[in-house]
Amino acid sequence: MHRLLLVLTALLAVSACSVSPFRTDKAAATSPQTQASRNAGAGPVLQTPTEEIFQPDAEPVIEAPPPQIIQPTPRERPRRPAATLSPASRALVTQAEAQRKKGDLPGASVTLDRAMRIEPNNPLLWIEMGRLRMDQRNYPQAESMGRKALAMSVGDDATQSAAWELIAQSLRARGRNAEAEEALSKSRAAAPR
Amino acid sequence: MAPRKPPTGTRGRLQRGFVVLGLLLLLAGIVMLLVLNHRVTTQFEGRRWTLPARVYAQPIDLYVGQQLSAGRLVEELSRLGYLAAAEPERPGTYRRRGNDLRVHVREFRFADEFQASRALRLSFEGGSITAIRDGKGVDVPVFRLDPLLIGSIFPIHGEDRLVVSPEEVPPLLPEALKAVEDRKFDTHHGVNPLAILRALFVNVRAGQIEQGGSTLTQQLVKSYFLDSRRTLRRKAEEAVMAVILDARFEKADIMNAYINEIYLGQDGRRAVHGFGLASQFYFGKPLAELDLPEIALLVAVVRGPSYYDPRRHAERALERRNLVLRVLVEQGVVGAEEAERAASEPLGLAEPGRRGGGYYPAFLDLVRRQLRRDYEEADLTEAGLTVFSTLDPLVQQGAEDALVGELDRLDRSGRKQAKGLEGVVVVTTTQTGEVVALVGGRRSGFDGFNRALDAKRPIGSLAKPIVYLAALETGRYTPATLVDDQPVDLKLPNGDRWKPENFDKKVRGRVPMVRALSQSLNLATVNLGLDVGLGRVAQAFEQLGLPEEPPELPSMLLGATNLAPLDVAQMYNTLANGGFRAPLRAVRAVVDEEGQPLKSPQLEVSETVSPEAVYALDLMMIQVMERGTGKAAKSQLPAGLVVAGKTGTSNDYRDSWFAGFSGSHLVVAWVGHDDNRPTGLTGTTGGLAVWSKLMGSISTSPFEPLLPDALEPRWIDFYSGRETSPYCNGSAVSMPFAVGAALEPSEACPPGAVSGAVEEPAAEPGEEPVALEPEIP
Repeated sequence: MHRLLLVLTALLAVSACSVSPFRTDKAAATSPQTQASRNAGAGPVLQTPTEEIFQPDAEPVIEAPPPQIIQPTPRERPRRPAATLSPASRALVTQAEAQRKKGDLPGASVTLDRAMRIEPNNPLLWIEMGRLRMDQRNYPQAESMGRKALAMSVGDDATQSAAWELIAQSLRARGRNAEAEEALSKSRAAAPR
Repeated sequence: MAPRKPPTGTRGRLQRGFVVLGLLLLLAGIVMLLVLNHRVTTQFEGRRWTLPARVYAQPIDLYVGQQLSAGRLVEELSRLGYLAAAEPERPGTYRRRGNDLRVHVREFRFADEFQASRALRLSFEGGSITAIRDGKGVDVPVFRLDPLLIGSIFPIHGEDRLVVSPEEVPPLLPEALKAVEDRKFDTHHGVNPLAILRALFVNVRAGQIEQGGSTLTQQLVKSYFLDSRRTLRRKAEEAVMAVILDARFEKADIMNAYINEIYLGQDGRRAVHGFGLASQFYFGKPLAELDLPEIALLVAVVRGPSYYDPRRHAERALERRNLVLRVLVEQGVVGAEEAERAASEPLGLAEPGRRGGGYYPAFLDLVRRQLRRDYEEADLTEAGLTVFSTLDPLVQQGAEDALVGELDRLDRSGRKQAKGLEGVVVVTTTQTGEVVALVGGRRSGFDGFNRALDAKRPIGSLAKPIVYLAALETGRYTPATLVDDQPVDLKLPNGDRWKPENFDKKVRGRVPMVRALSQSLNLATVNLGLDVGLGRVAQAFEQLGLPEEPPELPSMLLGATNLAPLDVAQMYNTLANGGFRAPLRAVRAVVDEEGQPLKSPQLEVSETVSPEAVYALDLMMIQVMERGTGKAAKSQLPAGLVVAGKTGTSNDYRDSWFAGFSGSHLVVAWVGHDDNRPTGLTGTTGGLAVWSKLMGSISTSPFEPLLPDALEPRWIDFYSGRETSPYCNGSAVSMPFAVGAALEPSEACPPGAVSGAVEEPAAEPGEEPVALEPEIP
């Protein structure tokens, strides 16, 4: 909320005085406002202004872009589309599932390692790895994988829900039923309707 | 003339004595025969060479959408010993026509499955793979190339080999060996008396033992059962054992044993045994793929691996190879025309350490140490294990080039202190904690002191982020919190006074944390650390992955703690991984001789530090690169590659460090002298130079951590820590705060303003502190 208000105020101010003494061509391209709106759509990646924005001796003073009206969205945090697997990692996840079914857990681990190498930032792979750790009865690691997936999927409800479900399973496997219930309710709450 | 004496008792005794002696000798002979027979049969029957564990680099995965150009892939293929061919029909060959690449991939037994050899067709566009199809035109989603063999864990006596089965031996090799070394091999009984006589004659004439008339069987016996002393007794033993061996075993078995046993070269401490390893060592490809000139060269080397060393005595080796080719024609093994063509070929040697059979001692040492947690040394050096490691040959090469390039540049800089420096580079993948490159010194092929693991040096300002992390974790501090950059005068427990100073000897008063860290201010950091508490800071070291807490001394705040580069990599990897600690691993899988999986370290993560604190720290460390001591890296890095890091310099410029990360790689670089002399370098001029050269040369992704739910970004002024607007001046930085945190607004340029005064004129140049006074014993 705060950030959006800030952006709005900035926008209004910019449109009010159409010439900003510090802004240059480059600034228009990478201005905080375009970054902010990009972030709102693409994900809460925090960007910092680069030094190129402010060049004291930059001559050409140009007009600021026309004011944009950004409607504050009803939700506080930006949403992200549900994570998906690339074709390569999907093939590997399928292969790892087949290996798990055959009871070849070390093989499945090697296969998921390969997928992780391709997409280390994909939370779905961490959830897969966590499920494998469940099969290996390594419950604390299953939970850790779930927590890692949570950290990498902020704003992605479907993935958050799957990660909480994994955490719930690992807690239940260790007899921590109350915590498991709590995790499960978080999973349900996050589940996209 | 004296009369003939009748036979006396003396003479009779003498005769009896001879008989007894004869009997005894016969008995001894029989016993010796039995003993030798026993030795030959038992040892040879269960013929098990001590098989050092083979270590492979991680295989290259190929998939649609991958950022990899056809040219780059061809480079990789030739590193693996693949050959360009008009029609890639044989495994180990390829054909490139522009953006179309056909590869005949070799078969390989991976840890999880056997992958048969197959022909693939790849299409490229704009530097990435757009299609992979098999021979029938069916899409292949993902595919592994056979991995690069990077070495083996051989025992102290240094015997290394790669055993091959008869099917893996090109038929030409045994024929050539027979033609050159032992023409009667198929018919003799282990020894060739004529050849021995001929050799004896030559030797007597020469006055010493020079030329052997040894059959292949004798050579095998000598290498397999006996030491290398050349005495007559050895010769006799050797001959007897060769006869026994020949009587009890098939010729084909003996030939195969010979091919795997014989000594063919030396690589430092490592003795190259057998044609399987020799093929990798000299040509960087499997034995089965060798052609006539290469086979002829290996056969030539048999006679004297050191005298005919093709790398050291190329002329001599070439001459003897062509002699071998002539003999092969004489003996009717190959046609004259074919041999002539082969004789005109160059030696075709693989560059050592760059291709297969290459040798990465520092990394292999790490592999060995990690495996030693689960395995006995003997299992590693003898049991024929296959180890799949995490090494990425591309990154490893980039790391070696960056280190050597920068150290050479410093050699030429004319500064006396900067001559002959040593260095270390460690590269890990941030999310999974895999060690993908490890360089232990500027001579990376040198197998000696492993600085990356054992050189424990003061980390200087690399300790600062840990102090700031400990502060952020208390919840009492934010990037905007003002800390005192004021003189410090401490009495240490041993009575010494400790009066650290800033790099430029100035004091700056109250500065926000983000600035204190970016500009690496010593006094601000010490005051902050004392405020937070040494105990908490020491604890943070352990949370990040140090096996134990460092001693709680005030000087630890400025990096008096001695750590090895790999320890630093472990700690910084946790910072790069959002507060998740992933134990660094160099091994992905281990399988036994039959291909069955064995115990190996697995990917593990544990959340040991608050994600919010790490997130805030990471954003402050981005500012180190944007406007602090790491600024110089920018020009070396591709535009848009966001990185975070920290410089480190120890007392009197003895150690120059840089540790920093992108979204996918962490790199720790250290530069210094082995004898701990001052280098005259700061973290910026040494470690950072190596770091940025490497980071700019590998394929890596920007560092873009996700904002944790509990935080929100706000603009603050870098110099005053007050909330401001990004439109006012160049000193606004976006930092994370707890949602709704109260921030003091800037007066000159409050949040929402479109323009305003710059509160402090210009960014100061990057400073780098000299860390510690007095030195900690």
